[in-house]
Amino acid sequence: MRPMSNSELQAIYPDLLPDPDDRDTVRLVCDLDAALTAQDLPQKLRSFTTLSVMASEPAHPDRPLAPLPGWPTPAPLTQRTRPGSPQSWHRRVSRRPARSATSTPASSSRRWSWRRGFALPAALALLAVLVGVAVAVTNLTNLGRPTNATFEYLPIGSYRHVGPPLYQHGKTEILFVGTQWDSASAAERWPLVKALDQFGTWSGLAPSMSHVTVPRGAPPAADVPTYDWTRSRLRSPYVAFAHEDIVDRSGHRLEKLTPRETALFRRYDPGQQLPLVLVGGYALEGADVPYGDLEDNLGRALLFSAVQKALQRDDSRSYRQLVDDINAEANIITALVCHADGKRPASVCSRPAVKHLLKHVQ
Amino acid sequence: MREARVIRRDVSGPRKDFEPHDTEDLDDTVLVDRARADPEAFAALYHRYVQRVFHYLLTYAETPEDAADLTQHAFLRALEVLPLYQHRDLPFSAWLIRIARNAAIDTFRRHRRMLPWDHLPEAGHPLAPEDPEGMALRRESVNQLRLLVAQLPADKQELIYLRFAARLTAGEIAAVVGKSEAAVQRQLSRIIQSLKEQYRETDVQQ
Repeated sequence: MRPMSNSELQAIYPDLLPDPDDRDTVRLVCDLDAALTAQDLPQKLRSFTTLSVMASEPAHPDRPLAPLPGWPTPAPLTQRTRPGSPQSWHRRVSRRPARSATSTPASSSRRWSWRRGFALPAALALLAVLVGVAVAVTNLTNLGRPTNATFEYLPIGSYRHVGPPLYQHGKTEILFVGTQWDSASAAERWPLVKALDQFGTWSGLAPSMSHVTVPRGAPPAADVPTYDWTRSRLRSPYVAFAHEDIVDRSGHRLEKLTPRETALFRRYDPGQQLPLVLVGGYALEGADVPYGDLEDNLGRALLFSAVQKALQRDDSRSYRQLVDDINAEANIITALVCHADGKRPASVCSRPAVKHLLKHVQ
Repeated sequence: MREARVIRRDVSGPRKDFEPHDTEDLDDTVLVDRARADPEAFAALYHRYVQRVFHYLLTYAETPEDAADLTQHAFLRALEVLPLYQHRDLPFSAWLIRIARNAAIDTFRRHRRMLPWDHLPEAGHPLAPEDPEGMALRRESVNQLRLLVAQLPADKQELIYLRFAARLTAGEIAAVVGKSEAAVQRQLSRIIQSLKEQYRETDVQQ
């Protein structure tokens, strides 16, 4: 590639070279351009024919994969167990023992008054603790109301259609495989918490930070705020959410994939990029939410509370990229669940952003 | 949002040898419409942008081979979602780089190499004297420059790579990163000014 003349440089970078006589700036711009564009195009990129052949190949990684042989084919929705049927989760029968009939009325009356005097403050204290826990958990899942944010030019982001949706006990199955240390997993938890909060109730969430360590000499990478899912659970009549953080913040093994999860991971994440998110027949390898959204302009991590408040207030003025990316990603996840679950609940799946995205879901 | 420009801007520098002659004067919008009707017509857009996408992805990849694979992946994705592209809001070049960027982020999760230019051939200054000593001094200067860029915060590095490797204009960069054109322009000017000062200091120290 021949070097560029000053006039050619001026034509390409007029905004950076307001003064053609500023030799220092001209030299800098020239050196930057040369350093970043000097590499010759590899042979395999020089012809469109190669790409054209790849696009027509049925076995291309971007093409939907056929279901694994031997896997149970999910039954049509009308035949599956629906929420509300006798088998569904919220119909558990209480097995509390019946009250004993041996005590006499008088003695039972004395015992009752003594117990009542002691039991009431204890009950109130327990209630206060439960309320406090509920408020804390509720606060952690309060990431603001859903918005209509979408990725305008990539409606369903980087999700690939890989096959039919997966179900467990009649519920749409969602699998997250990540680590507690990497920033991509950290970033992707935010839209998942927000999206799935519409389909059920979270418990056991805790705030946390990623913990990236980089090789010596590499630029530092900020730890970013995220959720700790170690003790968390999502109770939902629509979704069966499984999350596996295979390594903790210190780099030690944490959770182990089940054989089924291992098969899913190998099948839908051959590059073993993390996190892997499987939902509604779509797979996301890596994160759609850049972890840089969770850093300030100086590359320092935002506080967990700052991220949460930005989302609660839909503060796109101060945190536009963060708010837009997390909300848009949450809407994608929501649409994928709605698509797999026959658009239930209607209050969630009839939102304009979700309906818009459903048009792009296979 | 401003209207998409309809005038073709030749900002890619000297014409590369890969774009067919009969399409080089056609606007991106025309080529996109043709490609929608006939995917084989995507070739013109491919040849127009492949080098820019490759150079941009080289700032993420470990090797030119990785960057080439990622480039193919990005173009395949672009071909798949071309029916969804809207002319009115985003120039095609910015849309394509955004796809490439997402693909790179997926693959490398923004862990850019510290020295993305290790594998590059020696960068020669067009006005450098054609002598070994001059070339050696130039090599050393560029090495210093790449270290200076590598020390920038990630978002500022991104602006440099989008402007120089992908050769996007400030307006196109704004569409990719979600900022205003004026903000991008200001930030680029400040980065260049800061780099210039530091680059000059490294010369003085030599």
